[in-house]
Amino acid sequence: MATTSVQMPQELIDAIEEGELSDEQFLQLITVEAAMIGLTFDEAVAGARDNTLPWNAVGMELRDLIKLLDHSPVATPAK
Amino acid sequence: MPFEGRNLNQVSTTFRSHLNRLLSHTITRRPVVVFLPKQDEVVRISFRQGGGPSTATIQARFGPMELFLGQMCDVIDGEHERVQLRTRSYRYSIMPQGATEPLFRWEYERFPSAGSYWCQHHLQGPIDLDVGRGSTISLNDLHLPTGPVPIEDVIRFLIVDLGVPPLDTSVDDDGVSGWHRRLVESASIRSSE
Repeated sequence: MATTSVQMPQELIDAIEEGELSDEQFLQLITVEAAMIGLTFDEAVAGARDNTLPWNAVGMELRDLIKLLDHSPVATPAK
Repeated sequence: MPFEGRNLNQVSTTFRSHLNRLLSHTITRRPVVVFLPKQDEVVRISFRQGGGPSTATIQARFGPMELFLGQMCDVIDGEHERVQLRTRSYRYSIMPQGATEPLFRWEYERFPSAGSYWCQHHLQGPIDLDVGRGSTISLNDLHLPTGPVPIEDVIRFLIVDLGVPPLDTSVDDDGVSGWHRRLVESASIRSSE
């Protein structure tokens, strides 16, 4: 599963550089990073939980970020 | 002495500066980024480029490799109304360029999910182990106990065992290499985390 060229929205880059993401931006981040490896949000969550995400930087980052969803009141991205 | 500050934001910023100084004197000038993915609860520390997850490319004696560094930290109460940075999880991995999975992964989970009875500090990798009677098992199928692995030890492993040239090539009057002094000082600061 290769990484595809998905552009990170500038406002998300800015939020990361400023050091703080809202709950909505956090879900957007997972959505964008999932798209980088050709997955939807739900597929990435499932992949993180059954340990089938790729072992590249995106896959490892997603594994760690998605763990936070289990302790979050916000569990799905806004449609 | 662990990292302390007024709040998670301040103490994680201090830690980021410390870690980036350490990295820039040892193995990579790529800085880590720190952000709060969930406000006021945990911080994420990892390499990012253009906003996206990234690795640091390092030149080992066996060829180029990719270092992944990811930590989740929170804070616990310290003394005098200050907070103390605490590692909730780490994942450090080294992957030869062109490989599909890391050669070594050092991982830690302070709060594993229910039913996860494996060793919280462990090492994994696609390494076949001869377990006798003609059988092999992959290290990826085990959680080999390690004890806490500080990033300083991963950096030391990269320089000493994998031959990554240290960025700080100075040597002090006692003959101690600058990169080594940095690692020792950093490990000393973080020893009680």
